[in-house]
Amino acid sequence: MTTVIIYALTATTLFSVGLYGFAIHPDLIRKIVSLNIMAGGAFLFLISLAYHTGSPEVDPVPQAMVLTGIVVTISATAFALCLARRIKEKTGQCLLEHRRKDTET
Amino acid sequence: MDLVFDLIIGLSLAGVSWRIVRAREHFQAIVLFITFGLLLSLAWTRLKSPDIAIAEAAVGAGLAGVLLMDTLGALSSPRERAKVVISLKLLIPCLFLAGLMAYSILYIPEDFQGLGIVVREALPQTHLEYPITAVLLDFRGYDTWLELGVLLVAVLGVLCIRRTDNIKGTMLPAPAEPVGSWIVKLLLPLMVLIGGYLLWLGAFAPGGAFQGGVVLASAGVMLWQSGHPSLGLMPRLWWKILLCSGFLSFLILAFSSLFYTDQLLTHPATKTWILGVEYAATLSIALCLISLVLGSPARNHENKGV
Amino acid sequence: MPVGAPPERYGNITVPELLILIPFTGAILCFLFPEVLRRLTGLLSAALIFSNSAILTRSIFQDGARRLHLGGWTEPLGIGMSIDGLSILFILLTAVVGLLVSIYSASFFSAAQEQVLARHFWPLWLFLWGALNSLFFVSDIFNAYVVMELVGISAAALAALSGTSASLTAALRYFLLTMAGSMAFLLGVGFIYARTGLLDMYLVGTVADGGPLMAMALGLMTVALIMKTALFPFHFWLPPAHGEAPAPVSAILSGLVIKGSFYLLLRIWFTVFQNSTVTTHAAALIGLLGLIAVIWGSYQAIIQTRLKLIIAYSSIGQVGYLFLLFPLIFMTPDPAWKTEAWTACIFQAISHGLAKAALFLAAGNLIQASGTDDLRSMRNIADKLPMTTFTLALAGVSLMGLPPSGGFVAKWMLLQSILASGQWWLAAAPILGGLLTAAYVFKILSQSFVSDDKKSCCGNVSFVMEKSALLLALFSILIGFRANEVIFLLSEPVFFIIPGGQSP
Repeated sequence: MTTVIIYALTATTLFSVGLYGFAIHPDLIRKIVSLNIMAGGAFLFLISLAYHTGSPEVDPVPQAMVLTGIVVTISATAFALCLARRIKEKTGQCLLEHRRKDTET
Repeated sequence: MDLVFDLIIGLSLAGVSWRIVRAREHFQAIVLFITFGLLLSLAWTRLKSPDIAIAEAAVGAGLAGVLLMDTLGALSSPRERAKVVISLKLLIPCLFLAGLMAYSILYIPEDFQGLGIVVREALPQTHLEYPITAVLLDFRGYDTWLELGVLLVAVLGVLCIRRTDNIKGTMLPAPAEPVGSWIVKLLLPLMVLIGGYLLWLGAFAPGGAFQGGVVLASAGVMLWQSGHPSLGLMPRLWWKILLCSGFLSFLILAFSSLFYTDQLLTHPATKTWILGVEYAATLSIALCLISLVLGSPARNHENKGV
Repeated sequence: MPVGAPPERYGNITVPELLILIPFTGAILCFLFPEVLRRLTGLLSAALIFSNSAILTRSIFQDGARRLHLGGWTEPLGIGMSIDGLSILFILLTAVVGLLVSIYSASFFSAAQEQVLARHFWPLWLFLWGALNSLFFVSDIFNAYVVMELVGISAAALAALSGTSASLTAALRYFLLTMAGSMAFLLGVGFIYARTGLLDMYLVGTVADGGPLMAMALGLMTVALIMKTALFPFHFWLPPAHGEAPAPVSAILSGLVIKGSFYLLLRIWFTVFQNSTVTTHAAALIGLLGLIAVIWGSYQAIIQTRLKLIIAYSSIGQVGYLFLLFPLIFMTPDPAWKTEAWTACIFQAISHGLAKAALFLAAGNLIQASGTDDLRSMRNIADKLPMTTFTLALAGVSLMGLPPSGGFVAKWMLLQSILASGQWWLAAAPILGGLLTAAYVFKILSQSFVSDDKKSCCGNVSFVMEKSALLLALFSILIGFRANEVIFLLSEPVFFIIPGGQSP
């Protein structure tokens, strides 16, 4: 039980840290890294539940969910990075804050 | 002893994640992120989830690391410094959220039962011996189907952003300083072998379509990095068909299931169907990941090559 | 491949699965086919999906709600699908908007410089359509997460379709927020699993009680979904993303995609958390945010000078109305008025979807004719493009809520149930919001009737494009006459508000 609590606490901490990083960084690549930390937190939470099922065997459903989640997250990350690169090519910068100037010019 | 180990992993994960957020240099943040991925795989090994440890080491630390590093090279000079100040306006709500979540975790019931028992009882009906593979391909096959859809749509999205319909147009040019070819000659067959082995293993032990696909994808990325042109020589139609193959095989299964049963995605009681779907899924996972990693814009690499 | 497999099986039993299979098949074929065949494949799939949606609606209307067990595994082991009155209304909305937008796009993207866009539009749009249909069938919380990601990536890719730097930035901003929302949703799934050990919405709904874990899950999921639905204060991504995309894409994003996450929010609140007693204050808070969104969004719409941005900001305001449902349901003692609030909300979602799609398509006509969507360029438009002007007016009538439009029925029912609930402060939304809406609709229309001899307006717009926009606007009016059918679809035998609804 303590193991579960430790990992679940770590998981929620990771999620919060990732959220903080996501909110604070104006830079795209840092935002994407922070999202991946949030994802890591969510996955760790699910896996700590899988371990929880008293018996020696581990619950396969959260594990399957996390495997699915990892694929989904890497796809989304790759897509977002590609968008970020394209924006850099087009505008020469990769911040979201300067958007308004871009649209006006 | 285990408890000490758990505490160390937990604290270092939290510490590394905080360092990532606070890192001044983007480069440093990404290196720390790769470390973070490796620490996570350690945690998952500890939590008896070897499948996820393999996947995380290959994807979270490996492919994601390659992608981030590559993008960083294209976006900015790696040593560019970001201004990182602590903003209490954002930190306090995040701490509050963390506190709330920590409080609610204490309410996880002691006698918690997930779906593990239900899965174990139904396992003999699936012709698969390994529960995770059974959940992924049979009980919750719909999720896996849509997950392959997400991969495919991400590739379509990358193609849409790149304004091309052809992998050759999007791929990074092979690096000017290729990885030593002897390493490739040594590693590539080994990786293909490992990928195939993991796939075959999935029926009864940790491993399966996803892990096999990821290892194959890493082999493909390495092959490209070594300057070998074979990936670019793939005919366009074949490339497209292989990209779709996983999603398509589920689609065919779904259509055919409409004819002989009442429920979508029900498959005949033989192992062949599941294996066919699994092999197709492995191939398309590998190719989609390769396309996603290599399929990004090439702008900065020209500079690097010079 | 049996794309055109007969929609009926065993006599009268329809095959709802086809609504997912056809768009996905169409998307794959569009991807594999050479470019010349893509438009045809897309149109054919759209027609097939539309007809299947109509047939399914009839079947649900007659035989009641249905439940499917994918792979033959019953929940909690497998993944279920549930099709009830609420899902079928959204399916039907998607089918109508989807068909007309597809027809519109076939003409819109045929201009030479747009053909490169068409190549990417068709597969992504069909993928998005399939994902939306599966979202409306969803009955499993983890499955909902995967489907939402599918919707999110394809929607963001479509938003980036035009390739300008403004649209790319808007798409990325939207996508990052969507991704953060998905992470919060996934963690919420974890919290629900920690409490109940279940993933099926109906099963969770029957066992779940209150408690910190469920409260946390509710909070995370609600925040995730209101981010994706662009409720104030998470609205900032919407105007650039919807305003910068090509017209058919804006219509899809504004008319359908935000309805998808709203639909899921309804399912989470009223199916998963139906027995949890933790939600009254949260409901009031959401209602307050909705109220602010109505006023702020409509006000922002008034001060914009570009037509597409007016329409996009108007979405923020119109979506705000939907969230008034939550306080009404939780604070109204009388069940009859709860039903009224339900119907009002769904009516608002449908009529807004139709009207907003019509407006964006009309704006697309205007852009094609005059090259810009600046309001000043709209002078003389009533002479040159009378049908487009008429479309703008009809859709505006529905947004304002004038009788007999769908918007009128929605706002009238909403006002009635607000007064019956005694939540008088909520009445500010339909009254003040209606006035502000009228202001920006008139701002659009007044420009179009100004005649300006110095400026010679504009090129021609294809017949198909004008007609499909007009049809959507007409539907948004006509839906007002079909209130009884909507009410029936939301009532007992066809609606799974009953815990653990079994297949009839």
